[in-house]
Amino acid sequence: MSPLTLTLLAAAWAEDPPEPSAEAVVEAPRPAQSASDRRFDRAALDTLTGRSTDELLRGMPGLHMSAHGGQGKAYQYYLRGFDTVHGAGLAVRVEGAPLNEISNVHGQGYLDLHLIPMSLVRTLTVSPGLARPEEGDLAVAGSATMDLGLEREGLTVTVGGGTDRTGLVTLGHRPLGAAPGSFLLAEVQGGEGVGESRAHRHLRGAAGVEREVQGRTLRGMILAHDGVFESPGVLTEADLAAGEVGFYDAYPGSGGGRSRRALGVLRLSRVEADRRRQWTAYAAARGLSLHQNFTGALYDPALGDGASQTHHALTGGLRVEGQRRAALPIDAGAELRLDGLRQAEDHADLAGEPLDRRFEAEAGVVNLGAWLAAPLHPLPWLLIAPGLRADALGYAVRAAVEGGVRVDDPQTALAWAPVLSPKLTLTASPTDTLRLFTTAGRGFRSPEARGLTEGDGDGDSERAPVTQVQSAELGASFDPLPWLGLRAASYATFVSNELMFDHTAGRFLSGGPTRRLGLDAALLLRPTPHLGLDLELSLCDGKLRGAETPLPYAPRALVAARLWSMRLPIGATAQLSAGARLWWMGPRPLPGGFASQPTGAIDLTLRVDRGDLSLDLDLDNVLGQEWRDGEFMYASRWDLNAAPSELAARHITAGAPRAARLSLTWRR
Amino acid sequence: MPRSSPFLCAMLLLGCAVDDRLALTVPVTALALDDATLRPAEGVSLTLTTAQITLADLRLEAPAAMSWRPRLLPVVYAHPGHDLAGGVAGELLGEWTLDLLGDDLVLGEALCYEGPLATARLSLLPTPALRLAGLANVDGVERPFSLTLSPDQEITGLPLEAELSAASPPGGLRLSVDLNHGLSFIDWRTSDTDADGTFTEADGATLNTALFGLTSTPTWRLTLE
Amino acid sequence: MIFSRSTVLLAIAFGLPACGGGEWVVTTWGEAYIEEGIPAADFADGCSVTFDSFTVQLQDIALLDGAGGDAGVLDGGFLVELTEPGPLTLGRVTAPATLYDAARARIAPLDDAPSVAVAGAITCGDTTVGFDWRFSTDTTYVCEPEGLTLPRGGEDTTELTVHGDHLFYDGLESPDAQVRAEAIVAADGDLDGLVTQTELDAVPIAPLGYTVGQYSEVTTLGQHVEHLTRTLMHVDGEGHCQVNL
Repeated sequence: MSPLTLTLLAAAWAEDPPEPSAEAVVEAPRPAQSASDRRFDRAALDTLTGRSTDELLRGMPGLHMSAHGGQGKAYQYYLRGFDTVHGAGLAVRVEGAPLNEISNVHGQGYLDLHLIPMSLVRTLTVSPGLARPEEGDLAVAGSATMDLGLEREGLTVTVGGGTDRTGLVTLGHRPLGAAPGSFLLAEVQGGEGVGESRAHRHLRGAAGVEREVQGRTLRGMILAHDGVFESPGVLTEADLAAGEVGFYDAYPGSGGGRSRRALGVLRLSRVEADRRRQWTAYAAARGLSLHQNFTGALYDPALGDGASQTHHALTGGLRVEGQRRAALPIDAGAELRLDGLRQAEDHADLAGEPLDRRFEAEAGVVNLGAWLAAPLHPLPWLLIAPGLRADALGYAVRAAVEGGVRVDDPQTALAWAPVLSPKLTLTASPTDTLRLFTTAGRGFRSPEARGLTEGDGDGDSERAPVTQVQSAELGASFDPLPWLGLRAASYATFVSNELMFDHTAGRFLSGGPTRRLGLDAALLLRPTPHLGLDLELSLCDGKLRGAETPLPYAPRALVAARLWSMRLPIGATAQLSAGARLWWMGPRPLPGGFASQPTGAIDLTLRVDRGDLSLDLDLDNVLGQEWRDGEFMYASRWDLNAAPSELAARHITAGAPRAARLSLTWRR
Repeated sequence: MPRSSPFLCAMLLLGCAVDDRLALTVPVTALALDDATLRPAEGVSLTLTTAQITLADLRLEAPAAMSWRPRLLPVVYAHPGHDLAGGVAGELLGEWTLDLLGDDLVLGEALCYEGPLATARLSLLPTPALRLAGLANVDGVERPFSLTLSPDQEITGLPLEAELSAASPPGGLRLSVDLNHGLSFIDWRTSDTDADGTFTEADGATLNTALFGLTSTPTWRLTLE
Repeated sequence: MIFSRSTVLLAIAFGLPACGGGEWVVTTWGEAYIEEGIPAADFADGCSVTFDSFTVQLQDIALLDGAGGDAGVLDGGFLVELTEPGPLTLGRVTAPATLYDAARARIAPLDDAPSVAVAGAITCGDTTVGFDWRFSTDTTYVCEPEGLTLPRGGEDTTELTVHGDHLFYDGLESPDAQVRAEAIVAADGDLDGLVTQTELDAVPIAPLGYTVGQYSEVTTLGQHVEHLTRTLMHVDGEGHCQVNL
């Protein structure tokens, strides 16, 4: 079934007439509210290129991801004019549990998907733009949801390796007759990588159970991950041009880390003729240590500028949501999330050994949210869904070390903030082939606890500075022919005060008003149900309104072309799923009036299923280009014999080299 | 640094509307003195026999702005030691010993970025940084003088207002030293306090006045050709 | 009916956050150095200072938004006597509820009153001299308060801190500047026990070992002290302020 058809079906669910339907809908996807929404089932996911679950998010129109930390650290995400850094603007849930880490020491909303084995992802729904009322904190540039499970019953063994000096072994089991959510999976993945400082090792374990209990669906899942990885960091363009370093080299002490995480989710769903209810409880434990050095020995000529960060957190939450399609249709829900964390940052030497402590704090963060939406059909072809979300954020932060100074008598700073986020969605389907979308709303991004230690500590609460984002979008999806689909979404996003956290100074900065105007457009060709060509264009003009300067780092033009085949029959017994993705990103503005180079690559994935065997071939960077994953302008000092320079130099992080990975899967 | 393809730009109007600051190099020359005879004060004439200065690390600065939110006025921090100039827009790193009585010295090529300049700064290294010697004629009376100074500080705020463009790079940057100004704060009539037969920085307050003058911003001049 | 009610409620919800702001409260304080004096332990040359009067003329006080514009302006000028126990509240103004990282204040003459006026006594060893100085410097500070978030319907406070010891720094640009006063005491040329600004202007700065950095127009002790009146302000204690030249 093609994604196009799935999208139409999804939209059709949203068009249920006010009269109750006798047909129950199980696990129905949430209806699209934007022409840029995409949904991928397992078959479609097999056509997406990528080395990890994180990279599946590239299916989101307009998203650019940068893996400057190698394979183990969270990616850096850029979407709709936002540099979300490591996820503070892109909210992702798995099985209803939030994956973004609140107040992670490395960055707010740290989004690390290394926890999730790729083979376990069953559906992925991506939604660029301001999200629905059921999405709260961090969903200002986009959101995504994932459901997990093993597609096939029985025992599955996958063994693979690649020219990138990596290997993979996955063991999976889904009992016969059991639902996809009942499974066991263990995975070892890692290797040396191509180039220096790219070694990584990931251990993943997952277990799930899915049962029908008295008309309710119960899904329970545990995911665990232990990853150790090196990070190649940055290289200067000058050193590359002079031949001092190779494109896939790394400066000494570039960094690495260890990431450990466990997530447990319990989900109870009940779907009836005219209503749907879901309860989700989740708990997560996190241990993260990172060391990095992006400037060499500029600020500390003797010992180096390394930094070592540690973060430990416990997260728990409860989420209740329901949809009713009776006389008064209502979508409503509530969520409580609690985070307790302990974090520190040290100055480290060139070998990554901690020297002196710069920052150390403990914090407790609570987010209580509730939402209400009323999807109304004043006319059969018109859906109007006004919605409102309210959140209350609370922080208790105690810093034992700040600015390198140990606090004699640490006080607990309290901060809180109420947030109101109205939303409005209009969907019009005047014909069977045309759908028009209008959405407007407000989203928010909470501040990291680390910046709230300026409270007076006497028990009085300070107000936590929340970034509020207002956005409006107009879009259309037009499918004039069975094999042709057109998508277009134009949006305008306004932030009255763009807040940034300056990690060096340990304080929030007020960037002033910003605006982002953009367009996502796509041409979807489906000559057959098994073949397709998606052409996507994303343009965005983001500006600081006071100075009228472009917003740095956010991509302004992104073009992607994806040729795919989904379970294309080959002969009588085999099927081919394949995807070829070509992408190109235009120059991005960099701070100081500089600009990055355009960049791009071509990746391929190919899967042949025949009976109990599958063969997967992935080709990264087919043309072998030295493409720039990230580009930055700042001063650094990597030659310890040279005087410290204060002149901004161009630094790059290398994109994935050309590599081929082959894996064989056997099922019994 | 390559610009975007015009063809692609024609198709992707918004995406390519991003300017980049190109890099350029500017040759830097330190000028020797035209005349070994100085007249730093009324009734004082100096004939130099030694004039050596050790310089390091020339930096050209853009107009001051507050980080990524540019403000229109130059700013300094209201605290000694926190005076904030603009970001460094050009740099020539190195150490050079300049014989002011010899020939002009080519210091090298400064790597710069396009855009406005406002000020510059350079360092004097304590190796010693300044060695001046010769014969002083004060009110008709001659005596030898020798100044050996190690200020170990930066000369800051050298005026250098210009707009650099890679399309039309300047011919060069010239650094000159006005020793008449630099030595004008010294009281050349101070007696030979330590009675060593030579007027040196150890006599009276000469160390302070010599350092003050030789590190004074107007003593140093930068001009773009 | 449902539709119209929903529309009205939604319009209210969209509009709500745009209404109302928070109150920015501005205080000023000279801290112990001005209220009680600067002890000898805090002088590099063992001198000490007490102030009988330390007035500053504050005006043009504003909260700056992220684009550098005025988000809230405290009207009027404030002649403040900092020897009075503080902090002293100057006023409050409503501004949009959000985080702010910049505030402006100006110390300048107003209505023929000097911008800064200080009087007191300096003791170095066995010598004590009085001083009574008035300055007309006009200085606009852009300060960087931390953690300043105005909540809707609530308030937050910024303290404009005046550091009295800045008048005695021996360098205008050096991060290693020391607090000294011996040269000021020695400037009492007529030995009347009072150091006047005229006497300070008669002392060339070059022989003192003081540094002026890029401010080469400063050649006398009087000009040096006058320049230092342009460095008096900090924010919330030790927070930085930048000076617009």
